[in-house]
Amino acid sequence: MLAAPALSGCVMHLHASTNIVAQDAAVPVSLSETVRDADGNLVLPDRQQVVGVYDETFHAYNIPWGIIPLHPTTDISDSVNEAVAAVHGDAITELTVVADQCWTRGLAFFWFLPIVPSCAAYEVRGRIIRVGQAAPPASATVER
Amino acid sequence: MGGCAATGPAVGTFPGCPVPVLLSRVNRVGRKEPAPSHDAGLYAHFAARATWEKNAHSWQTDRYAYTRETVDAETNRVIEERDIYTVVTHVITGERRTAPNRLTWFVHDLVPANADVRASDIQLDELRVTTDFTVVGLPANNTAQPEGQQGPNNGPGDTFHAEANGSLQTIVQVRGHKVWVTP
Repeated sequence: MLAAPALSGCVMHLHASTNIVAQDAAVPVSLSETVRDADGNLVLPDRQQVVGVYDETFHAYNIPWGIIPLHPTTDISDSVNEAVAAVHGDAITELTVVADQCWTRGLAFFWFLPIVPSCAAYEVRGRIIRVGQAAPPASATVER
Repeated sequence: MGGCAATGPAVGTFPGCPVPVLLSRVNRVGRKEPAPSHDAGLYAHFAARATWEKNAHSWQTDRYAYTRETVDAETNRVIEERDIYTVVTHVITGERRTAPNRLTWFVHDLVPANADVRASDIQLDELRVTTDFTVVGLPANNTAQPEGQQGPNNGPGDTFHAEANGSLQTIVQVRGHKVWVTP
């Protein structure tokens, strides 16, 4: 793919961006490994049962020349609610975003045309967890 | 550009972070509405970014090998001449990224003590992901015409040299603030 621009000594450029939100998610969505239970206590991994994986890919397009985002905001709330409800989960933890190019990479050679969209694919992943009961405190007495 | 076609790694992560880092308004398991919380103050905000970049430098040299002639069988005249090249392609790739736990450091600054961990969350105000893909072709001095063009313009020793740099960069910008949670 590098050969084409090298032949002409030109520049190809694609740019895309989006702001990911989950304002209307019905469950806690956390980028860390923890959430809080109904009492406000931290739910550490020993109380978490992984019941599924949230994995959705969203596309963000920008035109012209990547300046104006067509999807300034990507709301993942609906897909989160669906995925969590399907496995009767309680929350999502360890949410991450993985970026990749998408089909418009093939158009990068024509980037100078304002109608050529820039695009990026954002794969949002997370663990769907169910929260178990808090472990009872270890007995303080020692039998002899 | 093979090196830049790969999927980038996750860069907006909070490994080892002791408190919830919430993208949702709902902040408790089992509750439909957010539990009461209050902002921890002007100095309990943070803005950080994590980046991942993959670069590739590629160059290709076409060295003239010979000229293939197509001869008309009836007239014995040469009807086409095409230069044939040996092609050598080199690619050097490199990867650069911020430390995986870079974003967690900012949270640690806001929740340094166990008391903070027990009583505070991080609420994200922004999770912005930006991707840039760039390829720059570098013209070079050539002594031959590109492969595929008709000869007999080239001779032994003539080369065609093509060179390009490419990069795929992903930036995750995060803005958030600490909130005190009410038990």
